[in-house]
Amino acid sequence: MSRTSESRAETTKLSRLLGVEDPQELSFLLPVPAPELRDYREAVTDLLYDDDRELLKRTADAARLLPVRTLAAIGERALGPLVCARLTGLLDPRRAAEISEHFTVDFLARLAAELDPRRAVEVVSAITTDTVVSVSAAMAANGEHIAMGRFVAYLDEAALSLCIEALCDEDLLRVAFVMEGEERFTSVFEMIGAERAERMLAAANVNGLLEEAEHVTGRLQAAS
Amino acid sequence: MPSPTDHLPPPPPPPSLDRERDAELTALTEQALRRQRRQLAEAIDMAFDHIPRPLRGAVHRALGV
Repeated sequence: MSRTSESRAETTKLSRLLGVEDPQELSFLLPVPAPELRDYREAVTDLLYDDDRELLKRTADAARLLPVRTLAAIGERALGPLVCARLTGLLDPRRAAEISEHFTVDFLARLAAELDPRRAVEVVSAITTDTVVSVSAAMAANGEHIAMGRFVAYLDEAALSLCIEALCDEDLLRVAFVMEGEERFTSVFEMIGAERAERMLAAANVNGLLEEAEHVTGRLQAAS
Repeated sequence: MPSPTDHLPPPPPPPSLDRERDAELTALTEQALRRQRRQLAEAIDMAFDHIPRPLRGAVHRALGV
């Protein structure tokens, strides 16, 4: 695992967070050590969540006045995925999970792409396994592998195993490239199994994912 | 509406980043922040159209807008 590929993984995550469409725009960050980029990304995540905090809190308080079905309709038709993601961690977790049951899978996938799961652990845990699998497939179809990588640490083993089964090798490699947490990284590859992992890494050249495959191989070697 | 104190500044850039690139990264972060603030303000405005009329007054009061 090279320092450059670590920094590239971090730069890719930061570009998603900042809404920079082409990660190449941030190529000037590649010489910066990955831990510094990770610290900066986490500080920006906190900033985006804490900015306008009072208004978001008042909005979450006002949400208590409305029925769950109405809130879901407002979320999907007016607030949109980004604002709903910012509100998720401020709502009562059970109520947030109830609201999510009325969202379409497509909307949940776009909401999840904006969500920092650290701030909504109880909500993520309350989502049914079937929904998690459907949302992960939708996120993969939307190219949201970076966001998927953030969720891996917060899913239970049963849900994770079904997601791994449902995703194609290319999607798995893209998620593994940006996945956070070494312990979870190793257990995910135990679930994937040696045969599928070898096939996935071997096909990387064809899919133009050589750097991703090298990075993942390096992490696996470092962990063994 | 949000008070100016509700608006936070971008974090300091990574220490190893070239000085001339600091401003570029900070500008991209500020841009993301402004986009989010605009989306939040527009979303709350739009949300009122979907709130049942009898509850609008109570929601207005809870939001303080």
